[in-house]
Amino acid sequence: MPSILDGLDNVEQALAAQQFALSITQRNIANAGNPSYTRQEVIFTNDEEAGISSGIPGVYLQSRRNQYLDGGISRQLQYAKGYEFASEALRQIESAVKPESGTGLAEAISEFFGSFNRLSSTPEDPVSRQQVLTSAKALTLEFHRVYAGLQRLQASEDTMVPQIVREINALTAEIASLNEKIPAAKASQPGSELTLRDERQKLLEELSSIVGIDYFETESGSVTVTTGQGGALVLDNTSYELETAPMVPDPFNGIQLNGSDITAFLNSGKLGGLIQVRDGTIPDCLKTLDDIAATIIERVNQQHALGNDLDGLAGGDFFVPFAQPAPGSNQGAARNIQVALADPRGIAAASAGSGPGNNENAKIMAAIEDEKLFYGASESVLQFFSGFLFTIGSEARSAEDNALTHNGVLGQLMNQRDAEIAVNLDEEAVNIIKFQKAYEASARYANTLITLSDELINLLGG
Amino acid sequence: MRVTQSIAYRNFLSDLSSLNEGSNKALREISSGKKISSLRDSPSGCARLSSINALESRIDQYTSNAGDSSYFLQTADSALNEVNNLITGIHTRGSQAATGTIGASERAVLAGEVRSLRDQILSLANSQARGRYIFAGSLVSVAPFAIAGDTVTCAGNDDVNGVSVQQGVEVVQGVSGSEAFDAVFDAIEDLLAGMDANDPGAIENALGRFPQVFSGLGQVRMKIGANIGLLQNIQSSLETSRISLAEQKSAIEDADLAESVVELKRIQTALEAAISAGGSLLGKRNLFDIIG
Repeated sequence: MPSILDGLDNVEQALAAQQFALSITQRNIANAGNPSYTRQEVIFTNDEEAGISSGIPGVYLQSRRNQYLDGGISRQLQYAKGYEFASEALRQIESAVKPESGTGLAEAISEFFGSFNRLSSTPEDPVSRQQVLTSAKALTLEFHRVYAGLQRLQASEDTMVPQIVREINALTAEIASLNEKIPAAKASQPGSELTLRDERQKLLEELSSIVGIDYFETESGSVTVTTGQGGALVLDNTSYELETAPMVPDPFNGIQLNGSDITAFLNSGKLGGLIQVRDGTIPDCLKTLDDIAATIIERVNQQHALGNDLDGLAGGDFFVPFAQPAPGSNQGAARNIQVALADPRGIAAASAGSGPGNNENAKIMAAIEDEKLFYGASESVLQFFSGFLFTIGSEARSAEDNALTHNGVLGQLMNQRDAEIAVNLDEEAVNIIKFQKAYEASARYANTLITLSDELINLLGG
Repeated sequence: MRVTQSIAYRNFLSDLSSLNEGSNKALREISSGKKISSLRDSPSGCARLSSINALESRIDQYTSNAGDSSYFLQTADSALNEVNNLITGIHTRGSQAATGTIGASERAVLAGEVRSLRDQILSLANSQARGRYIFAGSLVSVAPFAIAGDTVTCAGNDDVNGVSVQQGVEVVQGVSGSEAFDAVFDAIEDLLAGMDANDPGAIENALGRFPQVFSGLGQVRMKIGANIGLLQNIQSSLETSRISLAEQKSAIEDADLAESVVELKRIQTALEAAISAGGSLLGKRNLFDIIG
């Protein structure tokens, strides 16, 4: 049969349990505004597996992260931030290739060939001739402007790379250090590791928004972080730094892990978006511009040489001829395109052997605009350029749409996760009342026991 | 579902930001009048706009070419009209010289008058427009007709430019000088020879060539007139194409202002409602406010 004083021991435990529960409630409320905090719940149970022991028998602390949701959020962050970055960078590409106001490259091209069409009407007129040279000059400047704009954008993106790599290295170092602290905290005071784990999750998500990673938690409670194709960034309490090294042939910042180049494998997160634009979209655009410029230079010069100028001489080079740096490569054509002809009389508007007023060659030069010189001899220069604009527009559109979609999913997942783990102040208020009442009841019970034992003592001693 | 304060805030913020984005877009449409402000707003629309711009520029070129051609053709026509009058004058002098009632000295006076009229024709045959000798073929920088004695020779060629004035349509900008003038100067030379020889028979013979000269000149002028007429039709059809291109362009890029304004109004109302609802959410009392 239990004695009255045994009951007092129970009361002590009960009071401690309610006090513990109140302290956890207080911690939850204090962290209500902390987005990475996981609410902690006090469970009263005899099931020893129910959670972290509080030190008081039958009282356990529960704080469960949902790894499925955490993983989903990290993945959506990688996609969303990658597309967001690409979408913003593409906005600058769009305005470079097609300015909102003023004339763009397409207009400059049709203006150039159009000037030959006008010249065909008054081939002997010095004003018409000068007009051809003026619009040729304008065309070269437009090529230079667009090309330089894209190169500037590419270079400015590249300058961001070292800074981003430093951010990544700082994050992986912190994660590795938390990998070390978490088991230690768990051993010294169970439960104290929970906020550290929340902190580590926050860092993993920051890292995810910068670069595509995979991660998983090991049995020991540390997190292993790898790049998308498997190179380790964090193993237990060691982090492996990314390094930058100039790439070949373009001296942009390549990214290396343990001495091997992984630049091409980084395809999500802000850094992935940046690399895609820097190494994919912009070089494609530059190549298209180079191809257009090289084709125009070659075809215009070829036709120009077949005609006669105002003095009856065979036409010379209209543009400065372009020499391919390597077979099949037109690199640099758009950047270097220059008008070779200085004297308007030198424009070969007449066909060979005819009088200076003849316009046959001018007509053929004008018709180059419609020649199917591109895309396997199936598109004219402007059709090709329109296709180029369409490609950039679609890419920008799809980056924006993808960013929107993944941010939407991200928001949904965060809501789901918050539904499980975020603090709800109403609940905490109810908990305070609950634990306070239980505390009061225990205290009253103690009081009753004391009254009972007093009465017993008085009875015996009286 | 368990709803926490953080969920309510997140949803509120995301709704607010998408409404703000919508109102920003509507405002931009209203202020710029365009529904396309960057390639991504309509990639296919932009590609079509770019080809429409090229077509518009082509129409500008055609219009300018048609204007030039019209000018050259009209200059040629009025010169030939003048030539026609001058030849009539020469024919009248010739007919007077052919009558047996006048003497050698009178014929010499008439021959002088014919020469002066012939010189005016020569000067018209060397007409220039915008620095071009219009009857010189492609040898535009040199006066095509020269005279030695009473013999006029043509140094021009028959290379008359055709220019594009519409897709697939070329108009010839003039006529060849020798086609227009060779017969004229030949007949005049014959006439003068007869007059100088004081030979009414020869004069009569030379005059016999004049009906052909008139009809030849008439044919040349008809050709020119036909081209001028064609150009007028083309100019008006270019104008029509220009308008239709402008309409196509507007359909692609212009914002429907009424629609944008209604959309802006709708979004603003939604935004106000969201803010007032959100305001009460943010200030919402939780249980702590009540239990104190």
